[in-house]
Amino acid sequence: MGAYVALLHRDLVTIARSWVARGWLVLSALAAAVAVLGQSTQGLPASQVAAQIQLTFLFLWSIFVIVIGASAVAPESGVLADSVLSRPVTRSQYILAKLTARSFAVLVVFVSVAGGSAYATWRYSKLPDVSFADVSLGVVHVLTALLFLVAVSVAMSSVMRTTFVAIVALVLAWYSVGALFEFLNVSFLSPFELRTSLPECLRGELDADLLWKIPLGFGIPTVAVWLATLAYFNYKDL
Amino acid sequence: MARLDVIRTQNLTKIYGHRKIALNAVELRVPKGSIFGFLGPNGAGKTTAFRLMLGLQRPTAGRVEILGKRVGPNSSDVRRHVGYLPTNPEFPPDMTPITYLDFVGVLCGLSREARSPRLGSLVRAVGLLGAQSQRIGTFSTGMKTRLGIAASLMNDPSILLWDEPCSGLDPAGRRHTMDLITWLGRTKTIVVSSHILGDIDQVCTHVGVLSDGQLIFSGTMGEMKQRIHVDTLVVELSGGDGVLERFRAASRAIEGLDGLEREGSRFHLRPVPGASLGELVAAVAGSVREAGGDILSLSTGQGRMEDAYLQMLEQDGARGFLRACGDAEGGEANGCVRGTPAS
Repeated sequence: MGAYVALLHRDLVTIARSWVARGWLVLSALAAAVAVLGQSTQGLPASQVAAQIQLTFLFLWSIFVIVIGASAVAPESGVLADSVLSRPVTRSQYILAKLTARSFAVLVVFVSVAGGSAYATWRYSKLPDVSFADVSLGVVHVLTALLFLVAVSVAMSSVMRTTFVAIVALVLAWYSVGALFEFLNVSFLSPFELRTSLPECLRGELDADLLWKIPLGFGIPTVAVWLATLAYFNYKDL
Repeated sequence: MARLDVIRTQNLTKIYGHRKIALNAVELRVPKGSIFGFLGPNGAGKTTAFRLMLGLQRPTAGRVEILGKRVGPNSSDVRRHVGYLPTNPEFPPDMTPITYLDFVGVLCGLSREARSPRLGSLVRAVGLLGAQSQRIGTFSTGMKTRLGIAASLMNDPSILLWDEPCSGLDPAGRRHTMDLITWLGRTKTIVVSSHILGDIDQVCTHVGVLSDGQLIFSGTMGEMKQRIHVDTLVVELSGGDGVLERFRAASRAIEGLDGLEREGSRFHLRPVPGASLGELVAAVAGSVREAGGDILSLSTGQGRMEDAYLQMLEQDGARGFLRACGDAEGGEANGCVRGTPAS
């Protein structure tokens, strides 16, 4: 447990010091602030503005999520065997610490920006058509999609030797996955489906079956990816 | 009573991607308290053996046991007793020696009270006090090796696996490291690989020779040295050509001398097997006086270790088919000679 906590702490410090994470936080907060300020002049309903802010995390800031996840293991490949895994540390502790730290970093940035902006939107909107419960539900929907993306990115980072290749592959996959799921008739698994369902969710008008289908649709694959990454990393030669 | 083998491999084999046989059926025994030298040319499989011992890689076949426990990727309990120094080690570049050693201490489960004084004394011992606040990314190879030595000792392990510990060190650093190995060898079992045969000869009690992934010899240093057929005496003389030629003529009368070769002002003397080396040295000193010269240097057994090692590699190359036949017949551990001179 001590080794896991040490690895988790070390990775969180690394993320906090990275310019990618800092830049993402600043840019997303600025963009959210501009959107909130703009709503008062345009007279948009709060649900629409909050949905726009949250959806930028799926379709624009997802690149930062991919970079944070994909830089978890691959850039450390030289250091990994020499200075970490040759010590009294299990492979599971190491990869779990990576998955947890990267997921936690994304959670902190998203929840703080999306949550803060949703409150500001509701507070200053002329049409405050959102409730705390609906905003929370919307945050959970988008968050599960983002955590799935982090898990896949960390998995790719443990498989691929080059971070850049992993990032390119993930970006291509993330933007093409919607078409694939549409073709397979499981569009609720697609991040693009959230584009229509999220404003409805924030207004409290979402279909009852989608309320659980969306988080489970991302949550179950996320758990599966964590387990597969653990199994693969335990098997891998360093 | 038999000595306990702290490291034991059985039929240890590693094949990379069906393309390269890095280790082939290695049967290694490292006795407790020994300083075990791992010798072999580049690509012989020394680093692969270390990585398998630590569970960083999985064997294709066979197993590694350390302190009686099988080693695998999640054997953190075994690694708690092992300190590892890789060749040209890589460390997190953004850390300082103090933050890195503290991190290693936490990974090893040391309390803050135990970590702080230990890392302080280790930083001082490896001569990194002047660079204690410097980022590791700015370190030279030698500094990284010294930090690696400190990191391997952080948890005061009973077993040390040091892969080329003198890599990148200057002569003073090399000497210091050899002295350190000798000192640590009083209380720990050490496996050390090196290309510098003199270093192994100087500090090791046992030796294993790897060639193309096969362990072709394993035994004590004494047993290794017995494998050289001819003892040599090297004498360097002062004086001109006349003196040297007079010595060559006078040496013909020396009893117990089988032959000699001149190399500049140096003579390589081959004693008759079984002849007393002491009497030979006395006779050589007499012949030098007779020739009107003086002795600049006199050494016995210089290069013996190297000769024995090279001889083993040559023999191993020549007996490839015999070894394969031995394997097929379940002969002696994969052609490995265990502490006995080859016939």
